[in-house]
Amino acid sequence: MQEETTSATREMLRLAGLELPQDRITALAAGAATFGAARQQLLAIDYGDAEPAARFRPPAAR
Amino acid sequence: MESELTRLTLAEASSLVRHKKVSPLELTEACLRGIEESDSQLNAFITVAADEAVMSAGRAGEEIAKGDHRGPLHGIPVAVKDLLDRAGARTTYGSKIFAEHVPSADAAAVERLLKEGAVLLGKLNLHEFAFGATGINAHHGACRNPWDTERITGGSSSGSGAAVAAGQCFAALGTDTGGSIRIPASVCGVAGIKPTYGRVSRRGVLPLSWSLDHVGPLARSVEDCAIMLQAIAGDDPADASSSAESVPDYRAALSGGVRGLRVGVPSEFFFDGADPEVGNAVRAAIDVLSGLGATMHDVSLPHIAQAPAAVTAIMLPEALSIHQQRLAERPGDYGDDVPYRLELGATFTALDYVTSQRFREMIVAEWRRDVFDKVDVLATPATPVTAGRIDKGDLQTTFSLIHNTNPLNLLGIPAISVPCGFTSSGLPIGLQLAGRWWDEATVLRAAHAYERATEWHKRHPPR
Repeated sequence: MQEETTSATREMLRLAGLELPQDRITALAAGAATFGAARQQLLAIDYGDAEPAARFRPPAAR
Repeated sequence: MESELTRLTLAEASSLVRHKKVSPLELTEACLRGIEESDSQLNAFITVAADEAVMSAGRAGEEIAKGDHRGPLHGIPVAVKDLLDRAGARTTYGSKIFAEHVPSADAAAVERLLKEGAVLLGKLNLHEFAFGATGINAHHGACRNPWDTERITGGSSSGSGAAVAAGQCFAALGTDTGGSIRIPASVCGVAGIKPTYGRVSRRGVLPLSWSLDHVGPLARSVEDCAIMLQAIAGDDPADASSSAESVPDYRAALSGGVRGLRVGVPSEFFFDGADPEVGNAVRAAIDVLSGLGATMHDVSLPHIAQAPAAVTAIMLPEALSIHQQRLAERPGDYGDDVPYRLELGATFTALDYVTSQRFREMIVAEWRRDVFDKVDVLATPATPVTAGRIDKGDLQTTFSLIHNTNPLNLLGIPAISVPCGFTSSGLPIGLQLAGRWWDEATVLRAAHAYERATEWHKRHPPR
């Protein structure tokens, strides 16, 4: 499980353009894992019709 | 006399200037001498603009002598967190990468202070790129708490908290993404307000997280915060988050007391893990408000426990987006702690981010409906802990410091920290009062009433 998490972390960092040494990746994987329970809590909430707070606003008409 | 001058509040100094009892130049020179005497120890300033400040003060004095008094900030020496751009002056963002960066334009808030005739003393120390809550800066050194110089000031507006507390300036600007105005205000024993999101333009401020960044003042009194906020608040078309919501007269709104004001005391979250002395001081402060005629109400806060996670899942990816290219190209030029937080931003998924933005929309609607229909302000500890030792600054310290502040960045509501006591070892404790969106006036009024009924704000750190 930990190996999977570390591997996933490495891949996400690579996708973000960050090439880091193994010990750094391991530390980040551990940090990322601490968010796991919180992630599940956030995903379990029924948001109803709530849209994301960040919205696109088109420029004013000329 | 000089130490008396620099211990005045902004409002007191302003009155003396207006009535020509003291000149802007006298105030400025007193501040500059104070900085010279204390800053080798406090490390509150990154750049002191002494020559410019003296010239500006001289000009202000001439204008005032001719009867051209612009308002309460005219001729008053203030300082600005080095995250805000100052045209033609070094603006480092607390970093090595921008060590010699000179912006071509002032930040909007700086522009507005200058328009009111304020005198800029210089740029204040901060946690690197504003991404930390201790104020320990790897490049510029730790900012030190004037109450105990072995302890942190809190951050990220570390220099702002220290400089105001130590009397190096009459007020300062800071920024607040997860608590970075209120934390140093709380642990340095001064007042500091994070206004409603969008109340103050973020133009010319290096962003940490677009969705959560706020600009606001720190000062030695609530009235001073009101004066500063009045100057910087208001719409700015150049800032997409800026609001055209009308700006009331904050100073006029201070009077009126709190009789009948409904104060919500949260039944969960905000007192969890608080140092006993902090909890006791804040509950005593709530009793003071009750004695002044406010009514107290236990209040339950929907989804507060999940709010910190949503803040994290928004802040870290946004911060990484801002820094990604720099971090990839110059990782070694960052300090020790900031890269970890930025890199962690890569471990959040798009679903995490979007879900957290939906959470934000939901919790705002819930609190509007279920909290602020029942109460007018919330009262909580600003920070559940007081200033820790600099040699023990770590992630756990950060988590403790931001616990009570960062959910309110998600909500975007105005929140102020005011001094409400000291620990048995002499460290400041902060009371946080938070109110409805756009209702800084009520938050300031409640804080002002509390302040007027107590003496904590009159204490000064040892010289």
